[in-house]
Amino acid sequence: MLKRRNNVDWFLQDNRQAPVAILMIIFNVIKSVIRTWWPILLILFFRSNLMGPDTGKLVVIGGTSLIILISIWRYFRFHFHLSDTKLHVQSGVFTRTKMDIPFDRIQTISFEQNIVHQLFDVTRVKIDTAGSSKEEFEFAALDQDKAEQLRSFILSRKTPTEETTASDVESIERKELLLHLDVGDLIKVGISQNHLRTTGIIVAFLLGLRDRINEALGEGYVDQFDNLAEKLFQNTVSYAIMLFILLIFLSFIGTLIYTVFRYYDLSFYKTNEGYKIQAGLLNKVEQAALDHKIQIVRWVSNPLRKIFNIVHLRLYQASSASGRGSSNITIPGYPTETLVDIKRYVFGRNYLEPETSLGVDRRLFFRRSIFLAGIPSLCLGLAAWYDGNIPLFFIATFWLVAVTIFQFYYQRNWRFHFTVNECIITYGVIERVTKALSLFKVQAIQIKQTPYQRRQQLANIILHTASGDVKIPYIQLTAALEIKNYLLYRIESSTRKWM
Amino acid sequence: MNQPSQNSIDPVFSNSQMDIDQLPKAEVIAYIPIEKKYAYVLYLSNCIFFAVLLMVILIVLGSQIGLLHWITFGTLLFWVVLLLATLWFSSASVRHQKYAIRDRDISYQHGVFFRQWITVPFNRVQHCEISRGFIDNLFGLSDLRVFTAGGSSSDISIPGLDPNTAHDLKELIINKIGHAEEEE
Repeated sequence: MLKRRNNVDWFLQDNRQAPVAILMIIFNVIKSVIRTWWPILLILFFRSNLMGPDTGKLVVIGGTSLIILISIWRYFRFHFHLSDTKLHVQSGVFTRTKMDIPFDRIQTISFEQNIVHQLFDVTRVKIDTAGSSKEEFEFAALDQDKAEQLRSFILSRKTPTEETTASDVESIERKELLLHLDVGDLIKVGISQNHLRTTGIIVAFLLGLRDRINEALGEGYVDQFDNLAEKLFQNTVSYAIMLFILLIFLSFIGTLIYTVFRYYDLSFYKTNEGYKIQAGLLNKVEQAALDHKIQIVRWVSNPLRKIFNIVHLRLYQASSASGRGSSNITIPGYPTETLVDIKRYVFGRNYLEPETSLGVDRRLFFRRSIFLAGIPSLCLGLAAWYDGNIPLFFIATFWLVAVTIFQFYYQRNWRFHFTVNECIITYGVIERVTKALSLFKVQAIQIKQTPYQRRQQLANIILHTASGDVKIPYIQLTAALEIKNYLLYRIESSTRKWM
Repeated sequence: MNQPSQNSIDPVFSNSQMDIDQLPKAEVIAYIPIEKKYAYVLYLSNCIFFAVLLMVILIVLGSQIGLLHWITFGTLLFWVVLLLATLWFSSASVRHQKYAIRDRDISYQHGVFFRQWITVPFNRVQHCEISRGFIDNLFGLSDLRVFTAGGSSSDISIPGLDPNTAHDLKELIINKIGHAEEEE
């Protein structure tokens, strides 16, 4: 008891971050400078004829020392301490800001360690708060054990049940290992990611980058690259195909490396009141989630993951709207056969797998085929006919057939089921997404009808939760109303804590 | 207070099998329409917008091709049609906006072509407020806003309420929120 007293004491006085924080601040300042000024920096770098070598050196040295000075100053201007109910922070070089964050507002506290943090045994502390205008707040670096103490102090003070304070602190530390992923598992995870999506992101990024470089340096530079590429691949078709194959290959390798680095040594624990996850090679991240904060459990499978018997699992926590996503717990390679354990943990020991599921109306297929397959291919086909462009005509036909078949399976694979306490939906053709939630955690229920659905007595029902919506499309209006009535009964008769 | 009849639900948690027909039904409750004069608020704000639009059209077309050109007449005709359509849509949308309060939840329905009904249980309401815009003030109307933790798409904003009704509703909801918290 006495030890705890001493541990806590240091918080009550004024504190600075660990001295290593200066390095992180310098890094952050450089990052933000590059982010805002990079076109100008690029011009300075490539068009070195703008100034002589001496002035160039002077600018570089001056800029760097200015950044370092500001960072050091910023470090010494950052103070924080805790009171019984609030975290008080003072910061800022040119504009002084004073922040008081009540513990009640704090949603999650997570730790992150990059390679420098790991060397000095310090950690970055991210604090996600709800409702306030500034949603996220972070310490650049705190000593590892101080960070742990800070977190347990805040978490213990958050719950108003005074008498359990001491045991709460200990119970958070008691943990049971649920899952550990080694490099072999991570390679499986990396292989089974959606590489086409990554390729799309890379293409979009490269196109954006090309435009930005174009703007900053003028047409000349980009044209040179394009000429070079054209010489290499004589005609445009083989150029496009080669580029595509190259990009898929690159994104495959990239995803693999990224997965191993990000999820290296992933450990997933069940603590008494929630979950804890640690992962990362260069950037080590530790996150915690409390049981009652978890709103939605989602897992995604695809053909490759089916072969490896894993799913991509994510636990959605209630959090501030803008910070959504940052407080979710992601386990990229969770073994399929133990999924039921997670469901039992989240939904209670009595959770039973539903035996039957319901489908959505066939008219979803008709509507989506018309809008996604029919109309686009009709436009394309008309253009092809007008132009006499035969390849385009084939593309239009192919689109019509392929998308219609896809939509057929989309409608057929859309399944949902309601058990006494949970709702589970599953959709997707190649990538199958499943979402499960406790009925009493729903915040609001919305029924929507398009004019077409109104004529057909169909409706969409949307369940709003504190971490995203769950939508069931194209069901009978009477079924939607039944679901709504049942849900309202479950929510309104529930006195359990939902967040 | 105009409150529709309601079935009360046993607040104690139980897990017995429910007969689905026995549940209180959200569709049979009587929805109360919002004040008819809210249409005037929409008329006025739309007219202001269209007046500005008209000025822009006249200035641009007048300086480019002259006021007596057929394109100008065409554009003005289009402006009139669009104005009439918007005014019709405003009055229709007011007719379709209704709300209902039950013992344990508040419902709101709206939409002329795309209909929607949203229900928020009182024990999920985060907070509740009344807001009055400048034009609302002219016609003596208030907005009631109910916020949940489910994000902006699950919040309810009921426009065109009599200020007294809005105040009563707000008091009622805040009372209910308090009760819900006591039960926990």
